[in-house]
Amino acid sequence: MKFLFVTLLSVLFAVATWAQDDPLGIIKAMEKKMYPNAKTEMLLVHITSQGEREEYKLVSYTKTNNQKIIVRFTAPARMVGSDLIMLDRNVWAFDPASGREVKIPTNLSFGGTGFSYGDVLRLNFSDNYVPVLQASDAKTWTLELTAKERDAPYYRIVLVIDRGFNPQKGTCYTRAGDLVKTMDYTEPKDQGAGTKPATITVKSPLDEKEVSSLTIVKETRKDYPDNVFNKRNLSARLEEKL
Amino acid sequence: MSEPLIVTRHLKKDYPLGKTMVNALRGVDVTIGRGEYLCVAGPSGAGKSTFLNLIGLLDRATTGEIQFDGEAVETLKPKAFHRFRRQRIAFIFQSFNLVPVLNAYENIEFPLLIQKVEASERRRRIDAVTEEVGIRDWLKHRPDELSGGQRQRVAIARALVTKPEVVIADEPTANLDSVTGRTILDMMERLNKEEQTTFIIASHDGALMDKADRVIRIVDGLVQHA
Repeated sequence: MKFLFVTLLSVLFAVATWAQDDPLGIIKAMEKKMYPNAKTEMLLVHITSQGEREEYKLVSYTKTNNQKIIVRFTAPARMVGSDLIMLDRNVWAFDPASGREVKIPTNLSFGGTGFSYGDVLRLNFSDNYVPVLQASDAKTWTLELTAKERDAPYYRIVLVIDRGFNPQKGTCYTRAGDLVKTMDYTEPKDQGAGTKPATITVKSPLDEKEVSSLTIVKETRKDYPDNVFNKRNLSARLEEKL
Repeated sequence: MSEPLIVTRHLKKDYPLGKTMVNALRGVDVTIGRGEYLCVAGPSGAGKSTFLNLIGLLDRATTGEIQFDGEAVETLKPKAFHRFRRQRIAFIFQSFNLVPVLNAYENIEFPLLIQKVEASERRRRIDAVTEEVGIRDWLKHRPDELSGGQRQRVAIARALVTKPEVVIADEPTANLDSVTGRTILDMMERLNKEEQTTFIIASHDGALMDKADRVIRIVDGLVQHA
């Protein structure tokens, strides 16, 4: 009886340990925390290598851990109306002049800033990368993510996640192994949907004076219906009527 | 002439127009040298754009042959044909054809993504080409915030950033005022000389004909002077 109990306990412990160190499980838990169904106000700041500061204010509406997302620009004025929608891995930008949506790649640099469109839309890791556990300690997991498709924003990302499922640091590499970007997740705050890093700061070894950051200013949990997340809604703005 | 890069033999293109057939090109034989700055002249409707579309591999000839660097491109299967074009030829259009929702930087980066160029290399090339064509100050602007001359510079940067062997420009100054048009032509000539990129330009512009290494005239679907 005692043997059976010890064996059962060992099996349960092994299963629990395996589940906790399951790389995809870790990524999904992190995304659940980082990308709740919500309306999120964000500020993107880009400091150019000449020291000029550019600001973009945006509001995102997200569903299903960022598999569906609409991003609307509220500033600067020239960007207002040029909104974005991502459905699975496909991104469209709305052209107010023609009233049409144009499909664009997620790995395109957002306006020449340190972020790609995939970053701005917060392309989720679990659908786009294959994670492998590289290392773990009492405080963190280190995961290596390899892109499933060549058009992902980065080919390989080494991502450090703490045991509270908060991302801490991402290091992004090209297929050739060149370091292209580092992402630091800082300023843990509760902006309305739980405590988590509020700011992602991106730096690139290609231009060390250039810095881009994306900060969550306010987050309000809300479940938006599926009909919000379609291309036609970029002009219809259904979510504002809900 | 330098070593031949593009050779066409008996190139013909017919288009159906209602119940009749239009013979847009009726047997064109041309040899274009590597690094040449060639002007294709001729009246409207003579077949200039058809000729550019065929040698630019945007369209297939009805009959005839195109050799590009010794390779008979007409025989390539569709996938290889498109890849060949993507990797070796770039285009500059009269109406610029920039993506309206993307700013200048993003428009220039776009063909590099299609060619699957790595991020660090993309950045390096965009920095170099935007400096070259003098548009560093307008990279954040979208096409509708740029003048015609600025848009054409962006289009030229987009064409050159892929490091093509051939740039094909169809009436690149037609939508520009004469001063801006002259500046654009000067820039293309300089890039031709410095980078040894082959430029094939369809134009009515007398200034271009003066500067070109050679002018070929297409009239009624045939080359009049080669």
